[in-house]
Amino acid sequence: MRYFKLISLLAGATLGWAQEESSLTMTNPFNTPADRENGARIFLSQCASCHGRDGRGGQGTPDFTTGQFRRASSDEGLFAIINKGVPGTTMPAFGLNARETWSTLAYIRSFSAGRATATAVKGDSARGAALFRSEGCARCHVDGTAPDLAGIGKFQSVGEIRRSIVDPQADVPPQYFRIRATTKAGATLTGTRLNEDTYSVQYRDSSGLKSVMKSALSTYEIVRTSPMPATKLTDAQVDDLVAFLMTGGSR
Amino acid sequence: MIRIYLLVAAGLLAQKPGEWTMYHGSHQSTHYSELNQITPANVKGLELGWVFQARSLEKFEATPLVIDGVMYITEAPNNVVALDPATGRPFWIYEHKLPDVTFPCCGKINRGVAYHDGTIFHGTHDAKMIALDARTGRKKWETTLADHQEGYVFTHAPMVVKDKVLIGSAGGELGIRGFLAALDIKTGRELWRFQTIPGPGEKGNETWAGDSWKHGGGPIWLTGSYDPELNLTYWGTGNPGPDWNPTVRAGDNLYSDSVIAIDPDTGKLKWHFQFTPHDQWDFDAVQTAVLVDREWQGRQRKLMYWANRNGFFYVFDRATGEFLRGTAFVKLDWASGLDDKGRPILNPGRGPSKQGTKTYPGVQGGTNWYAPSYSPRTGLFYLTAWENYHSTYFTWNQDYEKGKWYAGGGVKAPVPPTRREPMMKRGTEDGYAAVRALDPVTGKKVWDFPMSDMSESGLLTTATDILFSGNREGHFFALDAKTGKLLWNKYLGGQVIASPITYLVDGRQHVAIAVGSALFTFRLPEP
Ligand code: HEC
Ligand code: HEC
Repeated sequence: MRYFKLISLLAGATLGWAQEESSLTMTNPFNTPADRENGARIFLSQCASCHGRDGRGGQGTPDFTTGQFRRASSDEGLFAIINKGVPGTTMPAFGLNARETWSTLAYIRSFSAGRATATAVKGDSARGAALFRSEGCARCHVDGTAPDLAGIGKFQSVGEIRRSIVDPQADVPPQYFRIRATTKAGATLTGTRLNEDTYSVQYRDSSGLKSVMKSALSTYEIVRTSPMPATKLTDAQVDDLVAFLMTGGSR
Repeated sequence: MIRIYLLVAAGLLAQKPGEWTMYHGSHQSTHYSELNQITPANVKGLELGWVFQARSLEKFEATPLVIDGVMYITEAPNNVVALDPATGRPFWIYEHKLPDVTFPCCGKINRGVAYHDGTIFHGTHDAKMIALDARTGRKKWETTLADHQEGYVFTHAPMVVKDKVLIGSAGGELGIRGFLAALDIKTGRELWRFQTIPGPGEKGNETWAGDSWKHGGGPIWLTGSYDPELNLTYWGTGNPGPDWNPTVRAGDNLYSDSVIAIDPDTGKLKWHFQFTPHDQWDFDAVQTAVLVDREWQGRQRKLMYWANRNGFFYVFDRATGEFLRGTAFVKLDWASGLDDKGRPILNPGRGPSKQGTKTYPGVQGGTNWYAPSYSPRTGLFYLTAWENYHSTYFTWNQDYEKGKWYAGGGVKAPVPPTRREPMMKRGTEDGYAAVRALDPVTGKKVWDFPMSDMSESGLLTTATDILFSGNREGHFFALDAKTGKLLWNKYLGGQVIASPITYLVDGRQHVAIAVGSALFTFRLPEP
């Protein structure tokens, strides 16, 4: 890796882009799966015509799946390229705002993350598919209340998917928060929290969609933990599940 | 000449009760109305009057005017509509054609128009002031004040002072050099211009390192206030540029993030106060200057109240600019307080960084441009506060390029700056909004009306001690201005990003508020 950095520094110097490598510490602040999904939308509408929908390039555009860039290697340097374009080539300057630029960059980087996994994932996708059914993952993830995992490998790295399975309580997105409340009449209410404002709460329980006025409640609590159970599977089994999810499975 | 001035000034002040003749309701900008038909006892009976559906889905930040039985409102970005305030039916619509590319930072929005003697004044996204005949909607004149391709854009309602109409330019994220300009109301000829960022040889230029003043920002994007006796106008200026890369602009960066007191006849600066010297967070001082005559420590004084985005509430003597008191009104950690002169005492390590710095308040501030209110009856100052709210501030290097975003960094916050969907996923742990009543004498909180989500709604108080406001959730509601108790609430299903007004038509009091992409009016049932 150090070798490649050196090359790009040299190339940069000769092409007058050296300043971009001056600071290698800035890392992309918009690099969550949601940012990458947003970046994918931008990439498909504004970049894919030249760089290809799969980022593999051709006809003068580089292959983003290699993980190696010609003009810069740091996030900061690539950010500047997307903003300013590459003078003397067809790579245009884009009027994206900072957040859009970072998100698109996050998506571009995920092309190589995906490639790394296809070769580096240790698990067996077929065994993973079987586990997905036998371990009850499908029960939550296919009926629509838990995230749809089809195509998750497009936006998430092996490490991120692994972490979600091993430690479901880390970073639970707010749309999976639940509620626990007691009405003034004494009934207990629980369910997935869908929406809330100053006066009312909307949630879903096993019998359907519900709405309740806060003035009718004596207690109200947002439960921020995930309903997903911590896994009892071995490391190797988790690898199998990751391999299955990485290769687009889950259904 | 002097006599004419006085007559015009007197005409402005003698607004008929029941009209709303300028953006802030009055030159004192108290957002307080003497109307008294809607009371705490009957407010529950308010019914829908009519709804005006704007043809634009852009954020609807406009505040209407009501003059001589006609309402004037803008449709984003730059259409002006005259309509009947009793039925909502338009009389005429003026459509301003914009070039393909303009650079409003934060939506193609507009906040309203100014009126004087049969003429409507409107600032456009291509940096033009246009004057329309209020009876026909036909253009009288048009003046281009700056190059919109450099990021100059007018978003606020202009302000008429005597024989001039004043406007400032937004563009603090595009490396503009801010200004306030005055035009002749009859001809549109530019009479003076005050640059908010002083050039070489001018006082204040030494507060900018090197050439950084050239793209120093200091935009003006909200209507000012005016004291006819002192003959001074008051304007808030926005952030220095680039927002989050302060290292390239060492110094205090005058007159960014300041209140400037400008003589409307000459455009000369009488005094200034900078709230956030060398800003690192985007704390534009673009809030309403609320002018109140009241006793301060035993002496009757001409005061100015100012609740700033940086989280402090300030009291000034508006004749001299003397700083009288400043108190934090929300949780903040960028400063530990203010010194005797009102200068913030910075906490170390709170500025933006490469890895991100989590700081209170977040980028939208403790409050922002939406109107606060002052009621002479309760003596309280009311504002929309963003409590317990933070952002993570990032910095990176960026060169200036014409027409490009020039912020030198970015921010991340769990709370989105505006929200176009009626969903509230997050919990309130990362911030919530409250309508907050402060005792302006002490700066202390008197009551709070907390909400689950944020609010970009302005406030209105009335002579019956009702406070009207809305919020991001889509509610429009009335509180008891003395206690903060909820009196009435209607869910209208769209985000409120504007301030309510009240007016009389056919002797009947109405309240109006822009919600989502429509203007709603409410009134009591016909007796
Ligand atoms: C009109 C064709 C075109 C479009 C559209 C385009 N690019 Fe490019 N891009 C190029 C070309 C050609 C190059 C190679 C330039 C060179 O280095 O010779 C390039 C290079 C790049 C590089 C540098 C790669 C490296 O190896 O250093 C990045 C990053 C990049 N593009 C991102 C984007 C993004 C993001 C978008 C959309 C927002 C985009 N491009 C849209 C043509 C295009
Ligand atoms: C009881 C329901 C339930 C079961 C059983 C369950 N999950 Fe989940 N899972 C969830 C919910 C809810 C979330 C979203 C909240 C969170 O991040 O924990 C989630 C999140 C995930 C994520 C992260 C998704 C993303 O978009 O970031 C992955 C990966 C995942 N689950 C995999 C699995 C696997 C593999 C299994 C089986 C071993 C499993 N889940 C079993 C409910 C469940």
